[in-house]
Amino acid sequence: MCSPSLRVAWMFGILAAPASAQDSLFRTPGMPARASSGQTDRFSNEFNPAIGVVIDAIVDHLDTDVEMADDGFDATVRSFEASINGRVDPDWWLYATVVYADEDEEIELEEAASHFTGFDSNTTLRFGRFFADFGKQMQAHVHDLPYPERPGVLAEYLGDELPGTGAQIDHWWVSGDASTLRASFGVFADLERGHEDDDAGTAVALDDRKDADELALSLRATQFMDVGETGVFQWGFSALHLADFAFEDEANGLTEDGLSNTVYGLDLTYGVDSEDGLSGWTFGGEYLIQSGDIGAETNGAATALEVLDDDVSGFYAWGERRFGAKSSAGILYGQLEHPEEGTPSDNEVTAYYTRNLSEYARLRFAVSQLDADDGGDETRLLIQLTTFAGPHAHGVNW
Amino acid sequence: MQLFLLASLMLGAGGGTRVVATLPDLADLANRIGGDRVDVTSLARPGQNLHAVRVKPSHLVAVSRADVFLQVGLSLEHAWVPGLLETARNRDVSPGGKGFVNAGEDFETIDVPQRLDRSEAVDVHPQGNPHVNQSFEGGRYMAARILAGLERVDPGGAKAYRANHAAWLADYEAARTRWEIIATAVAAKGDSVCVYHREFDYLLRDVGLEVAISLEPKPGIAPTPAHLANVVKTCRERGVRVIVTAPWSNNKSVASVAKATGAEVLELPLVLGDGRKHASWIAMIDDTVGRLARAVGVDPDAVVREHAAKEPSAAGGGGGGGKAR
Repeated sequence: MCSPSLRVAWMFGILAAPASAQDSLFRTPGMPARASSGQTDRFSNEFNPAIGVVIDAIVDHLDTDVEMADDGFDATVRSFEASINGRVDPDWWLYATVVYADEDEEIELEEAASHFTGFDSNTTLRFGRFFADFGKQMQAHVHDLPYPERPGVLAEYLGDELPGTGAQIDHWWVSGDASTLRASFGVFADLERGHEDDDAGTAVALDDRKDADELALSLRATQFMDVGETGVFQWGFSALHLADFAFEDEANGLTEDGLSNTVYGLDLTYGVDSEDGLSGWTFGGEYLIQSGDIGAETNGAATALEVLDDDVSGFYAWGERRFGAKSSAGILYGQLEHPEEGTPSDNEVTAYYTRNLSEYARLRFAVSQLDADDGGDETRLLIQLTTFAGPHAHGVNW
Repeated sequence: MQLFLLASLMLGAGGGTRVVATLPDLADLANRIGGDRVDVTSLARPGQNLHAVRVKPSHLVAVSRADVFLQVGLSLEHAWVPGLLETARNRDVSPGGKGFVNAGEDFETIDVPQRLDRSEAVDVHPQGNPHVNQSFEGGRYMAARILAGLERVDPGGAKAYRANHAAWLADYEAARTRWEIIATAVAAKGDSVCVYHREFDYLLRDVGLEVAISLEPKPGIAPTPAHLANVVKTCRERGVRVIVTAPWSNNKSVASVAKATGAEVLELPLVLGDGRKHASWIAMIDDTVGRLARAVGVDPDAVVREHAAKEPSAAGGGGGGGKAR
């Protein structure tokens, strides 16, 4: 036994030592060893990944006639995101994002993925947990979107965000002197597509382990091209297949499993800049069709779940004017069908103004109107303040 | 003719070693040194803010096919070049590849931050002011590194590259002599200017003009009303006659200060092709030095003539830019 003073001295010695990466300072036979030249454990923070954080805060006022919903003011830290990214070695890059969301009041690992870029071709392999490659905007986190909220059709058919655990390959080709084509294919053991149906009280459930034919699949092809000196046009087609899931009604203990559905999407985006590149216009939109087992309702006696096997569709379109490096304004219109009887639909319109106080602080004002066939109408006034400290990088593709 | 030359810089033409340059200035130097052995493409358009270049598919294609990639470095193009190089996946022109030329690397920079702290500025360049292409010495420095890069990638053309470089250097030295003569006359007046952003610090230093104050309170931060009032006060106190801007920063704030102080707004090219569409980097600096001199009351042609009359061998001949316009 050593004396307390020696123990304190030992602890201070540990704390004062240079911060070393993952490994122990002294290695004996049989302990973990890497096929390396000692680089992993012999250097300190110089090689550490970049670290950044984002706070996305919202103050809003909601005026709604939806049953069970509250009117009035609210203030939330919608998300606090901490991320790291860095080169592992010349062939690998990794990034990870941990998010605390006020709504869920929990910390969630949203992304943690490694990219292999060591091929001599334009191919990238991605492994881990990452946002599935679907459409133009689903890979962006909500605070990175050009408007304050995920468009309704994306949120309803795919979820606010689309993290999955699996692997993805993508490759791009030259398709002309001013045009490139990219395609990706992803396989996921766990794809957390948003399917919650509040009205019906049902939620999506996934098995922990699956057969090969039960894995979720994603596919995307997109081409972008110069349009004149200052314009760029992009089109894309995406598909996402959820091969095996269940609808659950926990309150009544009901489950319907062995279900599947597919979402197809078409996206178009055009951006044109002024000569100095600081101002310009952007126009875009996505059209989605959701097909298969798209919803479930508990029957009147609460003895069974009735699965809705149908097709529904929706779209959004938006246009934005950038006035300069600091400010922009835009408008978004969206429409979507719900799977329930009679395919009730939602119409949304949002107008917003964004002011970049600097590259690291952004203020946004927005007003949105939701007109829902099967619920009530909502009008929302919103102020969003997003601040960034340190680097901010995700595995966003084009 | 000038427009044709500029267009050929932007688009690239012919065969040979494929050179992609981030700026038209680098493309001009590569064309002069590479001659007919190179096919040069410039990515940034004249007039663009170099931190806000939108990467286009044509950029991706050009870089994926390039034999040589030229950038100034020093984080001038940091907002768009790293991602472009990573996506283009052309190892020959990626950092560490033999075709990657960091033309401004190790240049003796100014404005190096004392400490890296976001409370000091938003637009921070850890290695110092990256606008090396605005420095008299920058042209020579970057040309030497471009020469080395071309020789490395195409050793068979080394003899031609060196001959072309020597010819360019002769033009440059003649022009440099003129610039120094004019700068001596400008410095003797002891004038200072106001700027919007600190992108012309090399040029103003070389020409002999002090920066009295910037419209940006800190680099990358837009001017506030209180700061603009301070700018007006400083300009009046120091008798500032000129506000220097780039095309992207010639904005309402600049106009309001000019109106309040009676100072002249001088919009200068930040890269080759801005504004007056100069045919070469030497011609751009020639013209810029002349305009700055005239703005503070120095006749550049008269100064050069006077100097030539006193020292006939030192006033510089023709080549490159000709007389200061």
